[in-house]
Amino acid sequence: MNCKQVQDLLPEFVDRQLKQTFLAGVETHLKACSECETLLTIYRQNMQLLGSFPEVEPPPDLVEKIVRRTAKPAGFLALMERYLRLPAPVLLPAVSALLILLLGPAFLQMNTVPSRSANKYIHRAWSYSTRLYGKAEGMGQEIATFKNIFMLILDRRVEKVQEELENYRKQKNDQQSSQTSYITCDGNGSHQGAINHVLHES
Amino acid sequence: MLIKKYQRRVYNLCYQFFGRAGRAEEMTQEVFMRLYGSLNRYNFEMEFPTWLMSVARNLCIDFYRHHKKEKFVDIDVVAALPAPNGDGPAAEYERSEAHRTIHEGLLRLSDDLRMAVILRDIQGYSYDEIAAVLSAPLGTVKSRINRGRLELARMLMAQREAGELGGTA
Repeated sequence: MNCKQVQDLLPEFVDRQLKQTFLAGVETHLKACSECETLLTIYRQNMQLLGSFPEVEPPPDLVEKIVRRTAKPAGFLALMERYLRLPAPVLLPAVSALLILLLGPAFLQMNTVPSRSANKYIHRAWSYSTRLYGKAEGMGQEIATFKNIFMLILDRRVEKVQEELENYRKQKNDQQSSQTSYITCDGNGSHQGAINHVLHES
Repeated sequence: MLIKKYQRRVYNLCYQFFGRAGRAEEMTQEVFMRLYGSLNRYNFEMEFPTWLMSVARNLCIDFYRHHKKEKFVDIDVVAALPAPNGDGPAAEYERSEAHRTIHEGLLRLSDDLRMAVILRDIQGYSYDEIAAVLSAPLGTVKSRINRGRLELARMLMAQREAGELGGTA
């Protein structure tokens, strides 16, 4: 038997799985060939080293990180978050603004009002985006405002944009006021802050 | 909790496969994310740890094949859990050096051979379990393990000879 043949049979030889017909030939070769004998020694040492391979300790915050990630929404938003490394509250307005910046001027450049079907598709796309993002992080109102402004620009009613923004600000202020009164009542255990707030508003 | 129970096993498999602590952490997170998203596809004929390992194996191999240009031969030295036998610092150092050398050798094996050797010789899975994890016939599994072990021994022998030659020159 030559070195190549013997070396290929070493795993079975070490595992005592080698057929009787080859055993004597391998043993005789190993006694005479120092190279194959060294390989056998290293092979055995490796087996021992691999068997005692040290276990390593995972980072202490690994479980927490996994739990945090599994709690996040799956799908497109998670994918965006993972690759852009931005949280949802930043991504949503950023994506919407980008869409407006990219598509708005293109339509304006055409110098025509978009056709009915284009209009329909824009509405449908916005409706889809609203459904997709609307509930996330309470951004529904922002998305709706973006959509309204976008449609106003397309309809060449730019003068109404200011009005739309005013409406949005007003709604936001109302929302914050109601939240403030609620927090004041609940948080301090005293109704005085809420009463003051209501009085001030009226 | 599943994550707490199995994170160490998955993390160790990933660390042994990539030799990088950061990559192992990232891959462990991916494994559990994948698991979380595919629990409804769990094959009840398979033991849960075996299924988990097959998810980990698939992700590790996929990642490795997509990033083949990255060098995987440098390993991060990660603090190992204390060995059960309390040898002196010199023996401890010698053993850890030997482990580092063999780990570097492992990282030079092809992905299939490396995974087979890790599962059998380090993680201690049976041939049948490995066949289930790798979704491969028993004969293929045995052949991969044997080829992996032999290639590793040849590699380390060549390295040792080159070292001796370098020492004498």
